[in-house]
Amino acid sequence: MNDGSDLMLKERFSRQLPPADDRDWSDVLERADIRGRTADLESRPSTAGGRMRRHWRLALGLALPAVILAAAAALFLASPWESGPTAISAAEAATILKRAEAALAYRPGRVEHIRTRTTYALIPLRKGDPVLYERVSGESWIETAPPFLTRALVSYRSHTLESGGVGRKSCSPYYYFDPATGVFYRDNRFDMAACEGSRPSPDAKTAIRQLLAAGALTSVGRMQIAGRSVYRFELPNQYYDKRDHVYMTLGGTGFLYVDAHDYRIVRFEWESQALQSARYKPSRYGSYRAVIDYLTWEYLPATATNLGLADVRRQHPNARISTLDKMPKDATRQLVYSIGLCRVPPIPTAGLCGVPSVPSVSPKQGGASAWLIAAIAAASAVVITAVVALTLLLARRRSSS
Amino acid sequence: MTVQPEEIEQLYRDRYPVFLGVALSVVTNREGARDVVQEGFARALRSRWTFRGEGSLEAWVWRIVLRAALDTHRRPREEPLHAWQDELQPALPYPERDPELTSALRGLPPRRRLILFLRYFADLSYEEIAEICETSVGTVSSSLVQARSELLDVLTAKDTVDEKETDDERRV
Repeated sequence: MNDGSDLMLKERFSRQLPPADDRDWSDVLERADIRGRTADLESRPSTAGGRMRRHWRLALGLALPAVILAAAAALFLASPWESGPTAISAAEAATILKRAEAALAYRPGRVEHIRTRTTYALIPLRKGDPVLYERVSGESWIETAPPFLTRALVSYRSHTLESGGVGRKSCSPYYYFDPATGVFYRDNRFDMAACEGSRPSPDAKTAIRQLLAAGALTSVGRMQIAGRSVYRFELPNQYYDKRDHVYMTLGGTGFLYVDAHDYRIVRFEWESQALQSARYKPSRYGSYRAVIDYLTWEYLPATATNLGLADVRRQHPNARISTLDKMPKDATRQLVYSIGLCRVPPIPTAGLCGVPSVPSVSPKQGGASAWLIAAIAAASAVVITAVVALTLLLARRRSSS
Repeated sequence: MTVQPEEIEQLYRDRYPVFLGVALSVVTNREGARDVVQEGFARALRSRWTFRGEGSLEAWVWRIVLRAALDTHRRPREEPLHAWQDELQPALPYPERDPELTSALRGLPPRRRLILFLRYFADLSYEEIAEICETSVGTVSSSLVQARSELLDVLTAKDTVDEKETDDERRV
């Protein structure tokens, strides 16, 4: 049985081997990174012993430091973002921020080219690792001189959405291209011809540059991401620049990562503490983490080819133009509403529109760590009070004897 | 003994198609299978300190990858893997390449099918399969003997029918 049949089965099974053209180790490293420090620490076996049985005084003597240590550990676990990086001095942080600002300098008369990969992970309320929820790839070309042409490609799963326009999205027509029908769907909601092409579209770089200039970033330290040495800076929860209409709201903790060698922005991540959509199983998941990796961020010369890349209409010269309300209710339309404007329910599966803009943390949503800290703090208070009372009692007995 | 990330990376690079193939046999779409393998290796990287070096590194990683595959089907649990094995229902990733084997495999119980995949697809030793399935080498051996026998019965019967049909056609 073990001879010919073995070989025959091996041979037949070997015909099923798939082509392995996508074995990217960096993806694994990135996933390992996003799974977070908390998960790693929570799953480690406890080494605390149960040696506190012999004598109540000894037990209390040991319990007190154990409780304090446990409280410290709980606080450590509850703040996973705070534990990783090694600290850097304020002076060093200031220098790095200046260099980062220089690396972000706006270059007019070019085509700004950005490639991103965004990963969303849901973080369980109680125990368990963050769960990968969605991955979205993006690529955009933005002309940095009037008329500020802009074009973007957003892909997730098997869907890709191409869109673009001129000038600020908030006051100029914007077009979504549906490859299935070969039609441009014009979004008329923001059709204010008066400001068409008057300003460049705001991008993450603009917001970051303004945050840097306003001194709104706080230094956290130096660390490694997938083998790359980076500096980490904490972002404010909300930022609004009235002059340039740059509005950023994270609804939670946000960080920016700057390459330690060339000071380019390599990652922008935030963790929000509120999930509102039923799709996210709010009874199970308390927050989400989003990580935007900037794979490319460059300024291309304004050649005809590069300007063509920023011009969505030029990419499809023969496409018919219709209005957005006539767009078929299919995956592409879902993508428009999920990634673009986030207005129309139901929330699609892309996982972007469900992201709340304002944090609203109720005790239930606060997660197990908050309760754990409260419980440990209460237990610590009880134990400390008991120890003080017993010490006083013993001292009084000794003095009376 | 803590395993080094480079060792896990090497395993990933050397054996990726096999991991992908087995994942594909469980989750049925390539993107999902890729996710399972990457997620499994990411978990292995994060928890590499739990590998005590008592068994094979590959078997340890396989267990993690299979658990990641299970998590795509259902809510993650903390039960041992052997309690879940019936929920993994591996099927050939490309049934059109071997329809006979596909239908023959369908007749096997899921646990036996998994052992067959680990043996003939992943080319793992009996010891490694026993470690992955958290069972004894004897159980693996007897499961394989039974599975092979059942498979060969179906495949041989099919061959006999085919030959008979060919003979009949010749006669006609």
